[in-house]
Amino acid sequence: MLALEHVSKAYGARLVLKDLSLTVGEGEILCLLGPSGCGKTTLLNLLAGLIAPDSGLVRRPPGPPGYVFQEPRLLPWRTVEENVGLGLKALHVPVAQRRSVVAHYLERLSLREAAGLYPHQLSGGMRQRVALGRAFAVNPAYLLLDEPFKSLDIALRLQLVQLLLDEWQRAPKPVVFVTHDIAEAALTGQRIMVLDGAPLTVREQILVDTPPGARRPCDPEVLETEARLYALLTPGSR
Amino acid sequence: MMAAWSVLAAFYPSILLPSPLEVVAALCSLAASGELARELATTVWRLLVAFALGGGLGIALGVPAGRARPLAALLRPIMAVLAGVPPISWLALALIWFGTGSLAPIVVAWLVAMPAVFVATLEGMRALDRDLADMARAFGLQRLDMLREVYLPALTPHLLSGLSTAAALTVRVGVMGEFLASSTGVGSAMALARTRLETAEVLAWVVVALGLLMLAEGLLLRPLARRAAVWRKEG
Repeated sequence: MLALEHVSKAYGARLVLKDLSLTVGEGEILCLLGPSGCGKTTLLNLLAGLIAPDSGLVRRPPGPPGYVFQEPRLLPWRTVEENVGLGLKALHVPVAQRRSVVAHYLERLSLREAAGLYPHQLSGGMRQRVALGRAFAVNPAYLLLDEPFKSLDIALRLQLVQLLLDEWQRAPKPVVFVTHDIAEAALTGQRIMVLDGAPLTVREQILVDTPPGARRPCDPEVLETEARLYALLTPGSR
Repeated sequence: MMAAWSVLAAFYPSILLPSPLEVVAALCSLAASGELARELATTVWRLLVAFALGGGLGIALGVPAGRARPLAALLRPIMAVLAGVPPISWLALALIWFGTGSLAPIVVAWLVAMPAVFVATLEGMRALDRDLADMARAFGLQRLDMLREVYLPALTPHLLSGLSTAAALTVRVGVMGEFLASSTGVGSAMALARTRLETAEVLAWVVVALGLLMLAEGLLLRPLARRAAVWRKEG
């Protein structure tokens, strides 16, 4: 169960969340679109258990989430391999098993040759792939993605979105996917929320029936979803 | 420098300025008599104890102080006093409290070296990347893993300068402490040579003290720096 129940959160005088309730279904991909500073990251940090609400309740599955941040946030003093295995280490997974899981994701993310490199030796795209691998490797009960593909080129973006969907189809789990990219949302979201803030409010909610894995970027339904999102996000559309 | 020294030494009696050769000869005779090894051993263990206390406590107090502001507010002035008061004043007190022996030089060197490590640790904690610590927390890292995976590696660059300063201070103040408050060790031997007007021997002991300083850098700090450099520069 991944949910917020009547949650409020303020930073000083700035109220970021006000009596917000939100439930993410089992195996649901929920996409959040909205202006910067509307409280999306606060929402994710609450769901991750990194911060506590001022009031209200946060329900989350046991165990740490797979969290992919806006920046890769890799440990600069650890190799690619060690960074991908960080969460497993925290879970006290035996070394042999840790190695095989890490090797699997290095392979899937085309990082096998980079296993022994340090973050400063990687390109931006490789770093974000490592961060993705670190999140997948713990086989988390839920995934939190905070604009993970921002600042990546379009080809890599599509490749990683596909990878995310493959991973999700293999083991469906709740995913909260914050993005600024309409195409990303239309490709992956089963529910897409357009947000305003702060405090964070849901302006509109779009439900998409076609399973995420069965969509292609130029499918009529995907394009139609994109068109609706464009309309919603164009200034003066309120 | 050696050439200038040799030239100058030719104009002055060796009681004022012995030539480099005379110093080397003095050093050799100290080594041959076993005096060098004996005094050096005494000084090395004293300095090691002082450095371990100063470095260890500097880190042990600096990490929690970096996380809790009230603790930093409490400890900072204490450390400032320790670092700011001339070492000779501490030595005067130590002489009164502990008399002559090993304790006075050890305590004074420890107290004078500790603030350098404390301040470096505190600064390192302040400069710590909060986002990185949050990430580690989100992935469920607990105290010990946190320390090993995040805090200590992040602190290393800051600690390097702090430990290097502390090592130099330990040698300087420790040897001075021996000079004035002990009847054994390199500093005390130096004092004895001075009263006998054996200037060449005094300089020989200076060379020994310099050697100690270089040893500390080479054995302790270089390896640490090399480890830290692996992930920072092309390697």
